[in-house]
Amino acid sequence: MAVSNSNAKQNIMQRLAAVSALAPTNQTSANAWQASSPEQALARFEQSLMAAHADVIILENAKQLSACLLELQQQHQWQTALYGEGGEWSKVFSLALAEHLQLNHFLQPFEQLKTALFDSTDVTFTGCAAGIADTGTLVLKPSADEPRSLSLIAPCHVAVIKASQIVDNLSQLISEQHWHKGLPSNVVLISGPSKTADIQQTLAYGAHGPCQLIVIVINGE
Amino acid sequence: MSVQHYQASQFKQQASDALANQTLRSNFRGAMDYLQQKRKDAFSDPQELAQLREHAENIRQRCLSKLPQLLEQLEKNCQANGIQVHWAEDAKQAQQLIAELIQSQGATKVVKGKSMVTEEIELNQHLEGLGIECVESDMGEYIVQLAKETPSHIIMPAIHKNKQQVADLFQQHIKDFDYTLSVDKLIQTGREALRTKFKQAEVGISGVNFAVAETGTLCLVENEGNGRMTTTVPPVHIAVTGIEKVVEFLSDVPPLFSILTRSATGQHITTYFNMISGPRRAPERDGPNEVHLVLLDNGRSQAYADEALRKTLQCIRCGACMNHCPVYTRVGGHAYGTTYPGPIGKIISPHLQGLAQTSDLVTASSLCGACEEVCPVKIPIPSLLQRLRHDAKLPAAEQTPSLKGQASAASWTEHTAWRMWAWLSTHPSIYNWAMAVGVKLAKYLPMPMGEWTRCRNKPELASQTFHQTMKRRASKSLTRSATGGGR
Ligand code: SF4
Repeated sequence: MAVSNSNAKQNIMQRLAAVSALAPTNQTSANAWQASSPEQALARFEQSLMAAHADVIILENAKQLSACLLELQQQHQWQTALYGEGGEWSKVFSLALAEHLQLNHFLQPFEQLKTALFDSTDVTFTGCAAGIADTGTLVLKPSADEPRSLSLIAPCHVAVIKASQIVDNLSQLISEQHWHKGLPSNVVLISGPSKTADIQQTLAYGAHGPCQLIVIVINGE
Repeated sequence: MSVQHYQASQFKQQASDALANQTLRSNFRGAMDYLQQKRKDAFSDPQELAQLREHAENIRQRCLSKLPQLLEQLEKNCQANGIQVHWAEDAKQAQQLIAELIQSQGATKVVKGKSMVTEEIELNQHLEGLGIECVESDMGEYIVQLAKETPSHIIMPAIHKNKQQVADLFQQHIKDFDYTLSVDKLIQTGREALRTKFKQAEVGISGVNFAVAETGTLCLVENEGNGRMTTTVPPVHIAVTGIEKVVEFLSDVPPLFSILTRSATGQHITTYFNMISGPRRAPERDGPNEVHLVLLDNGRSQAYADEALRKTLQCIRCGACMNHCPVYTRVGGHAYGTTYPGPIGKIISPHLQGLAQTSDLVTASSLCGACEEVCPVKIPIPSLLQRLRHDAKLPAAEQTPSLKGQASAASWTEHTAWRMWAWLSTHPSIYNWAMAVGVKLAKYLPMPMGEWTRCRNKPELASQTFHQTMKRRASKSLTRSATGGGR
């Protein structure tokens, strides 16, 4: 890329290097929220998500997922859906819903799907890489299997997560999963449906992203 | 489209105009009360808040203490991730650089997420001059763009507008808008209008909340999803940030993120936290094919050069200081005539624009200390204001390097008066004589005495000086003790 920034870096670095003595800094830490039991973590996860206007459904086991998806489809009258083929729950999505609505795989490059995603997709389905109990947060690591736009463009996003994937807080997740060793091109933390309070501090949902977020938690996995 | 421009040098007039605007004052009053309460609720445990503030301050100070190394590390790791890194010394260079990046794509349609740094470099106006349409995608920013204004708050850009004003704007600018005062419907209208723009955009521009040196990751904090749209849908993403936004470790992010959202809007967490570590990688099917990072100085290295002023760069742009500032609450953001208004604006703008332009701003504070009390990274804003006031008045030859515009507010009369005062104070006999004469003549002082008597009475001086009174008292008590009186 022939973009000119010839001496800018050098000049900035020179100015930064020519500074007076730097004050020593202290080492401190801050305690993030911790659960006393997995049940408490799940309860906090659920409460925080619901406080952020998400719908949370807790299933006892994975066998209940198909029926749950079908019920949701009937309840919301979804006609068109999109999911990623290689995702953890993709087979369940397909088996449960293929006969009941127009279910598309995210197989092509985004550019070919863009119009359909923006204009004629009612719902998208994904799994999750983790959950954070403290803030009621879903952690997604989009990939070729489940691309980024699956959790972004359609008016409703359904995410499935196992209770065993829920950790107490973000710091714990970063250290347990060694995120400092390198990250995928995109990691996204989602804590509710899209919202804004930009007009007269009145909260409104569905500003740009999904108006509705449905989280299905599979307990006992 | 020409944007209505306010000037920092016109602060006094702009503040007077704002004070006379009842709608504006009531919009700000309501919004600030709401945000203050939300913040208060978010930090219900004072001990936790104290611990978190200290930790956040230490993280920011550590990262700033290693700024040059961290910038090198960030560049290296971003490049390893496939992010192209560019540097800009000032607003002009940044404008040109970003325009070149856009033009090299042959692009004319750009969407931009909320980014104060692009406001700082007046990017929209520059791109428009080149025939490039740059649409703001944050709902508040979109509203102010339609109004041909600049944001009046760094977190809530359209905070100065009520829903009637937004509805009127939409009616003026959006085809087939069915007039409504329902906020839900207004947001849906904005959503639909902007979705068309996202689909068409060839380039997306965003800011950065934290740039992580350790992993070469750009973090973006938002609620709406416009930031994700901007950085996911168009084939090219350009991120723009000030050089101070770099943090050393990924583990530095969670505490800063937590204190940022709670200080800004009282939210425990925002809807989206987007971590970008590179463009689409094979075999991924979406995300931009190119990601660029523009690192901007624009006066930040000037603040960095001075140990006290460096603290300004600790700022994580939460806006809490403005939400709690009695001056901002009354005059609103536009009166300042700067990209960053309120207390943070008063201490950062002298570095971006020079003290000559901003010398009135540094005096627009009662030094009540509310800003320092709420600042999540404990920036000592009142003492920095005092320092800047000093620098605006007096050339500080011993301070190097000096601030742009130092001594610009110096007045010969004021300077001479203080020197005379200093001389008098060190010559007691002349001082006493001058005071005695002064007290006698005080009653002949003219009325009115400028600003002082605009809403006060002229001060009545005592008939004797303090020294005379004390002397008399001392001689009285001496007489009493000599005569054994007072027993
Ligand atoms: S100075 Fe402190 S309170 Fe103000 S915006 Fe920056 S971090 Fe927030």
